[in-house]
Amino acid sequence: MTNKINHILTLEDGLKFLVINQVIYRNKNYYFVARITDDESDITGEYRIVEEIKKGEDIYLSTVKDAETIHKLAEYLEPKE
Amino acid sequence: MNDTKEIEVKKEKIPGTKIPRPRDRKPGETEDEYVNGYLIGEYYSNFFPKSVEDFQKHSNEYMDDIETEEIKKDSTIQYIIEPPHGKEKQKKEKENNVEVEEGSKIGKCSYADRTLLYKLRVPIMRKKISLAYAEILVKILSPEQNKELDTSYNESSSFRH
Repeated sequence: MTNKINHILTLEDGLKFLVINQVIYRNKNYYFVARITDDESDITGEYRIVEEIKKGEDIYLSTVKDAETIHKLAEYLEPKE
Repeated sequence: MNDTKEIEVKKEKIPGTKIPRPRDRKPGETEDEYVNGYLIGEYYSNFFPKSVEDFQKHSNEYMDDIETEEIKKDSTIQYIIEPPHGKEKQKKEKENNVEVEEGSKIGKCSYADRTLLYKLRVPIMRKKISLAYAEILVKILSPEQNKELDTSYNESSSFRH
């Protein structure tokens, strides 16, 4: 498990997300991310809570929509002051 | 709701990155000692620029001579630890707990430029981020409430017309 706070995750489709906060739950990484512009200079205004999924050597990001999981993570993923 | 009480949270510092806080060289300090103290000893993480100009002033004054790869910021990741569940309960949770859409593959991971990171620390941006987070929670945790809000808005609109 690595610390990805303040890192930019670039997806294969070109979208870029800045990791604002991270929490580990049941051995999985969950991130609160903000989408950034292609030149990595600004935030676009789109935010998501995502889950890291490992499939073999590859890592995927998937938007979390399950209310129960979000309920458990909410307090810990809150953006830090 | 009992699950919430059973959760024990452990905080662990995982080496991340630290942004050095600017300071004057101490009397008798060698150049190497000053640079090391600057880079390792204190963090810039408590710096909250009051404005874009304030942030730019500090960024230009103190950060130009610091190599990007040496900038470190202290980050803490939280682990949520739950007591071991029974096998039956785990199986049931696994069956019920799949509402995640297919994901996108990560191609690259890199540390954000400090200019972007400092932008995020401007107070108005911090408020925007907090508000956005709250909106996501409301949307996911209270879909019924969202529906009611939408309905009441539509009804009031039609009443006006």
